[in-house]
Amino acid sequence: MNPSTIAFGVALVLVAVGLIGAMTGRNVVKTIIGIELMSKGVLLNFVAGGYSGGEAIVVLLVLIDAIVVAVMMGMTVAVYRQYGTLDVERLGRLTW
Amino acid sequence: MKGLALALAPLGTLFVGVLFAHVVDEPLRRREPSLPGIVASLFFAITLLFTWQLSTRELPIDYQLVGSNVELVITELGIFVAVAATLAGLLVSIYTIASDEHAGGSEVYFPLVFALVAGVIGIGFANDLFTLYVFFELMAVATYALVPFDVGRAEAVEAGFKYLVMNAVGAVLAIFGISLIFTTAGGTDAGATLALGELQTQLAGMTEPEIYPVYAGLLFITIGFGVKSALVPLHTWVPDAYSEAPSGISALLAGIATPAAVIAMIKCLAVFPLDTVPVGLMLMVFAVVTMTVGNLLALQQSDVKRLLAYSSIPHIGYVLFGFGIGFHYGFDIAFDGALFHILANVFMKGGAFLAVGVVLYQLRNTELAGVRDLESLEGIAYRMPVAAVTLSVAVLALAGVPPLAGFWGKLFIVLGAARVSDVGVGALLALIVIGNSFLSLGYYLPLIKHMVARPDEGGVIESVQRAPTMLALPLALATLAMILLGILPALGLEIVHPAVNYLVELAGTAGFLGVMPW
Amino acid sequence: MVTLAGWASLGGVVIFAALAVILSDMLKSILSLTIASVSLAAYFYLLGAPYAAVFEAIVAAGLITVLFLFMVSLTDTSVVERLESRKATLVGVFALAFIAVAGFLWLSYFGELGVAAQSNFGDFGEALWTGRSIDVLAVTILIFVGVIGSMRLTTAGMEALDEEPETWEEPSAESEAGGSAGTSSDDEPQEEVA
Repeated sequence: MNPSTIAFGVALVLVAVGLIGAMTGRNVVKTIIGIELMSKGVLLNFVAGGYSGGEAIVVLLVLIDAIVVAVMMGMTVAVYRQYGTLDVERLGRLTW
Repeated sequence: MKGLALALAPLGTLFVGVLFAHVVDEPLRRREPSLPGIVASLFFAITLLFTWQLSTRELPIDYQLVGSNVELVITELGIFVAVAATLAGLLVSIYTIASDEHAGGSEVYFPLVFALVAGVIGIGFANDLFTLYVFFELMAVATYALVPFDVGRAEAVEAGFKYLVMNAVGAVLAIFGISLIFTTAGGTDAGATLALGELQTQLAGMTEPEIYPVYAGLLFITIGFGVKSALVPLHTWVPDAYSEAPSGISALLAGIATPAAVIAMIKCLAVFPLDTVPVGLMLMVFAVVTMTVGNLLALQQSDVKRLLAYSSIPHIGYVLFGFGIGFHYGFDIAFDGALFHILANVFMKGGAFLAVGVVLYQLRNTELAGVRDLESLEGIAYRMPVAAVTLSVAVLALAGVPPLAGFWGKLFIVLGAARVSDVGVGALLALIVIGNSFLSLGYYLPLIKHMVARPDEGGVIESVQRAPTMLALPLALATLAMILLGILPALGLEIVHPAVNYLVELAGTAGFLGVMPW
Repeated sequence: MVTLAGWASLGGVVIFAALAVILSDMLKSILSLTIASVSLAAYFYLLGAPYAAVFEAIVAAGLITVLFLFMVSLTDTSVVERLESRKATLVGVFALAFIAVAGFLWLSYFGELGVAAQSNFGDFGEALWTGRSIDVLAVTILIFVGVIGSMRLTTAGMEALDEEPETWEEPSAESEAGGSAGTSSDDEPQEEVA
């Protein structure tokens, strides 16, 4: 079995796991972890593809990801300040 | 033409603006509180100037900063996007001269607004899927902090959080789709490419089963960009984010950021071999659902900002429908309609949200501060005529009433639908658009009715001050633009039509002309 | 070529990723994410992409972990992980759909991919600085934007690190008032007037 194919499969699994984590996590931090895992799947896909342009893309993606996580952290702090909790179920002020 | 430095000028100006606005904001603000807004407007005016200069050169211009890979190509489509985005930014900057929505954080507000517009312009000029994604993320990250700008308000923070999570997931799905295309169609062992032109050649030459991951990539890209484009059922962040964001930001989001996600999606989709992949059909289906659901949801709203927010969704539906018809049947008049509607939206949606912003601003020190309920705002037309006129014109334009800006976009899309060779199908498609337009009157007209209704005796509305001139200026400009574009659509078509020609060439739909087998 | 270490690191990524999602203790979850990042960096290195490996290791395993831990220490994270049955069904459907698509993709893809080329500094440098120069510029601006955005989001009451204190006087007063009004009434869920 071609090792790159396995890597591709792993990338898909990572995206799946991350998506599930982001959607079901009851805590805001879990959601962020889920999004991070999805990005890792994408990185894996770019590297395992094996082409030389992929590495530069991966480096830039890692940087973009870090910034998005930083912004999500800021958001989490803001949420905590307003609601006193990180429980996603409790964020219910905006209704229909 | 290659390597012309002017090509980087619009983006470069805004990039400089991001840094400049952050650094000089405080000293400027101390001298005179409206200075940052004036400087921002100047930056946008300069960017517009550069863009206009670029449009007079011979296009397309390939541009690379250093080296050999071409990432930015100045095309007519890019010029169109740049003009629309810069106009939106200019309008909002003028609004911020007198509005205080950025108070306390203007050294963050203006850089983020510049970054937002820069991201949109980059999306227009990108020639490489990854570059497209990078600029898309630039725009998105700018909005992540702009939507919850009122960090002291719990509703704003909650709206911002939901917006952030949904859009972050969407962005990852989009880049995942791009990565699928990269690994399968990216090129030979010599070096992969995501450049649009070469990618198209690669994709055209692929057969099954290699093509399956590419189809999957198509799906992921559509869903990923679809979140930001307010595609139903990925639209749930729209009402919260648009209504809790400061009004200038809502105007930017509705006017240019959400349509920019549509443009990003379209550019990605255009590289697929359209005679074998039913891209247009997929877009049309999504568009119809988006239009209809959006209109139905808007009917039930009584909060004016939420109403406008929900009403933005069907307009994305109309635009997508136009693109779908163009891709599927090859009638480029539908593309004209879609792009013209995007331009019109800048002023219609922008003007509407800014008008609401002005009203809320005037009410901010009264007991009605922060109230956005339609019934409480009855009779505002008598006290604040400029805002009421702008809002009414915007709303009528959005509903597609001639001779205002929104009419032409829908007309061209309907014309595109009507040309379908199978008359029944064509009539059905046209009716869907026309029907939805009429449906939207159902919530637009009550808005006007509430504004001109008799206000409560001795209530807060009666004693509201007229808006200061500086605040009325952007509203007047938006109204003027809506009327001008309506009476003289040729003004808009001047930049729309070359963009459409480029798009048709890119997508390769010139040969279709209504002869699809399905 | 991929050796046993390569398989191990790939396996590590998957296992720790799953753990990060499943574990209910926040701290363990974050550490699982870190180990998964390290495994991924190792895999990148083994596959001949050392620069990607270094960046992934430093940023994901280092910086992001630090950010997570910093944030966890600022907030209360003792939330019990319980999944409501209605949500579980929805998620289950999505998960199955995704896995079905992924499985189909994977099977159709068997053996078509090439293997990663050995990269040296020349290749990578060229790819990044000449091939993707506009992207580098845009990402630089994006980093700046993200930083000031995060600063804005965390501004209320927090001391600014390297800016003049008087810049923050106004917002502290406004946001504190707004903030306390917000939190005091969050015990009873209020319905927004729709």
